[in-house]
Amino acid sequence: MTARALLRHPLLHFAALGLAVYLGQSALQTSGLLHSPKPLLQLDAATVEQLRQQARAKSIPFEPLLRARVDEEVLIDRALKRGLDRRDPVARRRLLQNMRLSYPEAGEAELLRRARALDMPRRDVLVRRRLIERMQGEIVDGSATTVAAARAPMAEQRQAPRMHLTHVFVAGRDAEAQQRAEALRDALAHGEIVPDEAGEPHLGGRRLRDVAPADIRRQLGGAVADAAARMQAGQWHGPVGSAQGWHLLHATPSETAVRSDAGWEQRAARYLAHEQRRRGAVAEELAGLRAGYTIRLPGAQEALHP
Amino acid sequence: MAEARTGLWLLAALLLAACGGSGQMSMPDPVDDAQRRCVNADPLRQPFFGDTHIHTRYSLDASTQGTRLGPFDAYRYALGERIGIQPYDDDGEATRFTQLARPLDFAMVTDHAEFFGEIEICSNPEATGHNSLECILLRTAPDQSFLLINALLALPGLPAGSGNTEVPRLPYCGLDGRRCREQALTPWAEMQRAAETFYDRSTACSFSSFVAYEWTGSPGTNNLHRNVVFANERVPAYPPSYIDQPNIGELWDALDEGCDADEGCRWLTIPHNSNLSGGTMFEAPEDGAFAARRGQAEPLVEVYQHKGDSECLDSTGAGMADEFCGFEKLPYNNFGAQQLGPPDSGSQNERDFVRDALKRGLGFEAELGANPFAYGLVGGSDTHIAASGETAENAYPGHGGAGQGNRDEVPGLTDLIEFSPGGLTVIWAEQNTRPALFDAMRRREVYATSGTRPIVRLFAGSELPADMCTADGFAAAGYEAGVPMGGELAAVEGAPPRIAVWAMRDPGDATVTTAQPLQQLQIIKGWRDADGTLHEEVRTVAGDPDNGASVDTATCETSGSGAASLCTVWEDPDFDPDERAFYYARVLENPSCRWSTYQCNAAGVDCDDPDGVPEGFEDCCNANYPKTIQERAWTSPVWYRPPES
Repeated sequence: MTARALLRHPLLHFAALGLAVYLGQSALQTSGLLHSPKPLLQLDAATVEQLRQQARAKSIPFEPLLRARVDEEVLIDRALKRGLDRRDPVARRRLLQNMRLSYPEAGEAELLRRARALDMPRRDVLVRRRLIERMQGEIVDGSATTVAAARAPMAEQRQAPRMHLTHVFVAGRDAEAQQRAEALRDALAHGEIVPDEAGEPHLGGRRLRDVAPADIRRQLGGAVADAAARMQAGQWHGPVGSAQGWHLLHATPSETAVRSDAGWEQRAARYLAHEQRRRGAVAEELAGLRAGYTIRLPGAQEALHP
Repeated sequence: MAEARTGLWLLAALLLAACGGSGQMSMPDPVDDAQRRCVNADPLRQPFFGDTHIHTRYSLDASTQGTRLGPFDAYRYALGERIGIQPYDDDGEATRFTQLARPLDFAMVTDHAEFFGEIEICSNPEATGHNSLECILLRTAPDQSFLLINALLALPGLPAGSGNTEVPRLPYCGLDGRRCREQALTPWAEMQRAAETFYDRSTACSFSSFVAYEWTGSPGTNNLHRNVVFANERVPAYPPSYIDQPNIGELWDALDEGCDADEGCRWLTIPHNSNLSGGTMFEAPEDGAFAARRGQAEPLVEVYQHKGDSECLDSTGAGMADEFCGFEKLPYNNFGAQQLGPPDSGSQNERDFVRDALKRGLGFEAELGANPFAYGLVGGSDTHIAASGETAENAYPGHGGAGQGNRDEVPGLTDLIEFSPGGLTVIWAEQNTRPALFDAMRRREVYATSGTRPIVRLFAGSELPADMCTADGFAAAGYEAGVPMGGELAAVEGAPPRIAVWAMRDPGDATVTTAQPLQQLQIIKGWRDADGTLHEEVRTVAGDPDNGASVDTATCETSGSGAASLCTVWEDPDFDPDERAFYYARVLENPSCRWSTYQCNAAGVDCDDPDGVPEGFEDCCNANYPKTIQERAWTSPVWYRPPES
């Protein structure tokens, strides 16, 4: 076969065309032009501001609150894509109830279509909560358990760091009480006063020995327990505000070891493996779901990434 | 009978061994447990929060309303785990989820013992009788089955072949009910296994579980229910139920017989829902021996739970004017009236309420030599969906008590409007172990709350220091110079008793934002005068009843002042050393939204537009029920007995 004949051969034309199409497609894919755009998930500025105010009011960090809200929106979007607003009996019933008031003659399919058009699955508090819970429930298997997993929270408490906590309480929630507490803290730090003579009596006591965070939470409340978990040993901290008043705290590490009971170690190990798998799966799943969206957060884009 | 018991023991032993596997369920020694010292033990005692009343799928009225969670799930929940609850979808997946904002320190699953075997047979395809007509009915028409089967519990005991009285069993239980009795051992074993699994036997002492169950006698539909609590893992092979022992004296006999005291088995019973007993819970004892037996067998009474308040009614009696008795009252006085409607119920009777029983107990003590009603006070949820201790008004999944609600009822209010999330029990004990907690229950050093977590301490004694509230060492001084709540005062000539009581508000936290400050602290005194007349008096001893606290029920925002802490050492100005008396404290918080108000607001209910009220939320506009609740705590009383008695 001559070269000219070869150039006219249909098989060669087929191969050349195929190669051209392949190269063209590869180039387009590399450039991103062929990608279908990720769905847009956007919180409006008012919602972001509302979350900021909520964080300020409760004295909690804004970023995790915002990320939790984004996760909720992701879960609702996934729920809607799977038609859970139509299939979940509770969400469906609620939406039909809502819509039937306005369209008494319409059929169920029409009512549900209109509910979606009005964004009701996101806006109705009950439906929204239901859809989020359904999606979370599918990620976290909340009903399965094993004997090993059963001891989960106790495992955490057994391993929790223990401390000897000295607690000085200042009654009152106002600025004057806070100032008094700050002055007491400084006096305690400089050794000008001893803890037993400072502040006012508290039912939780002044000295809590070998306590874990759960013990502190039970006797002095969550705010004190959270602060105690974060503070450095050997220094006076506070005043920590609680609904009861102001608390000054001083911790020294506990040397007392928890003595286990027969058979515990084996059960705890099995439990920990189970919990790590379960919790890891949730975080991983949510991260994967978030990655499937283009997320816009007016004025708070940076908060999305921890 | 002896042969039957031996057979049941053997079966029970085999079941426990099979459940545990590889010897993991070898029986621990209660003596070792009593000697265990926790790392955080406090000789001056600590408050431990828990739920003494929890039902799971092993209770008939839970199972027939769609509860699928068992004792393991109830303990997981108590420890703070998230659980899925009914309704379930077509794939069997839970469609609702719930989680405690604050875990509990102790819990006890108290499933109804009456139909353990019956339910097991109907839910286990391998069991003989699984395809009986009764089981088919139970599986296909649970609501009707609930009424039908529960009707057995409204029957009185009938003479049985053994010479005892028994309530008839369903035909599929076989001759003498033997098949059901044998099958009952399976759930009983699982309840023991779950309790053992979750009991922290390390020196961290992070959680205590108790083996327990409920004896569910309701003759004539009048509630005589008792929770039976065991001190440790040494329990009877078979839990005596109302069907086996249809009166309370027989129950106590059967517990004594089945419980080997030499092995360390100990028990107590806790009556509950006297408000639904149609005047029968606190009947007069037949003689002094029975009064003494009752006083010994049941040191505690459940004053508040999911199905209402049983403290006081304030409907009859001279000098009784306690406006705070009007708290979470049911509109009927027995189960029959609940099913048939309040008009079929007799009017509520003061005789069904604990305060009246405490007063009458003084009289029986004077007349018979023993007080059958010297009760310490506890609270419980009585959840029927395994949601142990879920008492938050703003997170109420519905407890489905009395077999109603909670399967097909959502969306809509999650429970019947007259019900509530129930309460908690707080135990003052040195450490969180079964022996320490059980001993505290026995000495009544416990108090009840309506679900929140204020910390309350009470001591009484003529020589208590007057400055206890301002000096350090409240508890040390209280134990040294007096007795704690639940105790009996030693008489001191010429010196009236002092009551030192200190309450600190529930501190709440980032996840519990509805806790309210304290409004007032009250002392309730009951006494019997020289003529045998019974009296009561309620005094506000700290705080301000007119503090202006209020709730915007449209938003549930609260306003007004309140106290973080209330403390007083109060001396009884009217004390007469010749009169028997008791004193207990009631701590009232500022008002807040009731559970139904949170749910009605979330659903956007507008009662001015009745046509627009969504289905299931009609009771949001029921004017018979309050929109607010004044959460509270009740301490156990202290008793005073004149020296010559």
